[in-house]
Amino acid sequence: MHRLSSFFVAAFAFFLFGISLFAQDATAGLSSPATVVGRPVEIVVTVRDARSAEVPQSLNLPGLRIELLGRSTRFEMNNFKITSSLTYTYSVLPQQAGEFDIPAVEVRVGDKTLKTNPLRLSVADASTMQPPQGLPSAPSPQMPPSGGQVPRSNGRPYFGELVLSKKKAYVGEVIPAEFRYYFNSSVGGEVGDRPNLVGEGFTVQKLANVPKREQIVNGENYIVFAFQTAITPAKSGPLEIPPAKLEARLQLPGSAPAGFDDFFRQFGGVAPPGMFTNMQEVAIETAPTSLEISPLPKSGRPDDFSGAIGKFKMEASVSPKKAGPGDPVTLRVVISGQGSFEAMGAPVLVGDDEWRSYPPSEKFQSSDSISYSGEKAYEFLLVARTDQQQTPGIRFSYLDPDTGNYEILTQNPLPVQARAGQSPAQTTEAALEQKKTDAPEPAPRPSLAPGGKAGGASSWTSILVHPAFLIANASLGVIWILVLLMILIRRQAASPSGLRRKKIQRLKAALTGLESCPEKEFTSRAVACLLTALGTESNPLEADALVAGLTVDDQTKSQLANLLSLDEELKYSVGGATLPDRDTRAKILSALKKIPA
Amino acid sequence: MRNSSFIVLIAIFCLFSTVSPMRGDDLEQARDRFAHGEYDSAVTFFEKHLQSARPSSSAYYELGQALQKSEKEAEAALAYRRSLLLDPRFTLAAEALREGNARLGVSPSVSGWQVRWAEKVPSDPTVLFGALAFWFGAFFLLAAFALSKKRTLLFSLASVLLVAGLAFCLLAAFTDPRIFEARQAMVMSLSGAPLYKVPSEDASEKITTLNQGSTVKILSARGRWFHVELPGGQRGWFLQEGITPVIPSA
Repeated sequence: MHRLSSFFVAAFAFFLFGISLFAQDATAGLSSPATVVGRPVEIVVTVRDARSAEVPQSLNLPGLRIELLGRSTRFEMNNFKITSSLTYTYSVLPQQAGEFDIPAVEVRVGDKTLKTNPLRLSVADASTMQPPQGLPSAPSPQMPPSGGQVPRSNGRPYFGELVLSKKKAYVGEVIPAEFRYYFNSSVGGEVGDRPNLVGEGFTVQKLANVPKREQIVNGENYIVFAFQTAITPAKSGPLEIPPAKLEARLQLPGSAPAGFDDFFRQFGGVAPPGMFTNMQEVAIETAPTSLEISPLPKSGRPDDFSGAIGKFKMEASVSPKKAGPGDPVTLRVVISGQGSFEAMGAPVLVGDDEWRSYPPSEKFQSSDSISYSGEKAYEFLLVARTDQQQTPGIRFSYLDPDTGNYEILTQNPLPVQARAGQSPAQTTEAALEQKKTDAPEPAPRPSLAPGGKAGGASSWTSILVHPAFLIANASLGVIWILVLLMILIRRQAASPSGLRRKKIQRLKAALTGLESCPEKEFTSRAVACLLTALGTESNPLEADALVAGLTVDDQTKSQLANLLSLDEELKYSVGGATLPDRDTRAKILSALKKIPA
Repeated sequence: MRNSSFIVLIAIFCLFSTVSPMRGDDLEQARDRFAHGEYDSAVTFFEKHLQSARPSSSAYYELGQALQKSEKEAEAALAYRRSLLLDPRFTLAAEALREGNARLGVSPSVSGWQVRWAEKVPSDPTVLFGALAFWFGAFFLLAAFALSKKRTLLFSLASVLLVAGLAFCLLAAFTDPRIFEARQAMVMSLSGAPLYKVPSEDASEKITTLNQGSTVKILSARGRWFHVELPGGQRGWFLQEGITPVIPSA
């Protein structure tokens, strides 16, 4: 039974092994993309999914001695998928400095011929290490791999590092940097677009992707994802570059499902490492790095220093060599090299008194992805004030960060034949002179705004929100409201209720006056009040009938009727009727007040 | 009493007769310098004139011409834009701005209906006409209310005038560039201006860099930062340095 189980397991493993042997490929990686003369590096050729292969014993490349050192075989099992890889190691001994393109290595597997990827190796002279020409796709001697030493994986399947070209710099100096993320080639998965770097006291250029490459780290093959950028310190003092985090989703070794360990234990073993993997979200961080930033040296700083820090050279040319009267010539100055092109100011012209010059145009052409190397062209437009045989001289100053000294580049005047001419302005001047001496005719002058057009508004404020407009409208609004109120009041006064209110007011005033009026006038004024109250001032004859119809008590009616007869008596009797006494007057007043409104 | 009034009138006349030539002098000087090819000096005089005199579309156009001759393209574009803000129908300034934008590499802005209307109908007269119609309508309404005869006619007339007046005023308010472009600003920095997602100079938060001469709409200000909206609707933060409002501050 035990033998039978062993047979099935072996058969199953062989089946899986057989299935996996169909996707063969060959890759090559350098243990270091840069070295110096005499210091060997290694090329590791990995052939996947092959049990045997043939590789050349040596590679012929002038300047490099490349020989096969040995071979090893490796088996891996990932989620029941078995992969085998053959690893061939070559020793590369550089014999001269330079950039070497190592061609693809041909690997013969069975009847197939596979080719590895080509490689590039930078070899510097051990005695004179030159500064980097830009930031190449592979690190230069001045920016060694892993910041001066071989990266340490410490057995981790992935890790990150920040490689800076220098640890000491000046404020405003551009420091090329590379963020590298290493993934063991046995680890599959997906990697995020670009790392995230947030910090203070420096600015970072946009991160540029570098083609991924393979690199041997501590004998293990790693895939390297790198991002190049340039860091520019903004202040002096210690500067901390914080970790830059890159998100990834990786297939990492995991634990076997429950029961599997027991299964393998039956056969006296354990599950092979790497047989079970899990997809995990990970964030790979570079280690924080410190820089020491110095302020720009004050001593020896030229007056025309405009912020350029780096290593530059200057070239100049003029065109055309011959210029007609008043025609401009273009003086083209090209500053090339490595450094802070963005912060750089234009070169200055020396001895340009006899030239009319204008601020130059500028154009930057970068030769790398981080705008660290390249050339910046300035074009000065010059017009000769007097006849000239040579252009003005040119001067450009910059700070060399390696020496800490300010350097001045000068360009002697270039030969040119430029004639001072009848420029439009001079023509006008001449015309003005002519006017003074000869004729009173006005000098011709270019019209700036043809037709003397002076339309449009004369204020930044729209008339809609102009205070005068708002005040005028508010005034009209107030007038409108006042007129409306007046109309309303008049309409109210002319209405029946208004008239009635008016009548009551008049009656009240009359009654108040009646209380204090002279005795002789009492009767006539009381009758007037009564007629007003009855609403029959215009027709007194109806008063008797109206009194009789009033809704008051009989005594009041009687008092009011007596008032009317007394008034008639006083009007028409000869010899005289007697005036009402005080008591009668009080009763009449009382009766009048009882008349309903 | 009559004598003193006369003296005051004479004094006012003398004051105006001295002030006006002073303003005119700067303009004349500027034009004279321009004619003689001294463009930098012309710019100085035009700016001096515009500081003391009321803003005028033609003066800004002339300033733009002088700036352009001095190879200050972005400043010239700003002057043309200001000229157009005062008079959107000024075709010379519009043409000069279009050419300036092409030289600066700034894509021309898409003209909306407001701009097209403003190019045809002057704003201030429209407002005045609208206000006049509105108030005529308002007082006709009062008359219709007060009078007993021809009420229907008066009421109809008042309604038409009120609606028309209000419509004209609203139209002018929507199409006056001094109102709808009041918060426009222009990137003047030679190297352009970086736009950030948040008010921080963190390079990883940078969205894009706008060319010199590009226009944006300022939504708000916070410390050294402007919260802006790009013509495409994208929003972000600019450092205030290098951004100049199109309507100059008083």
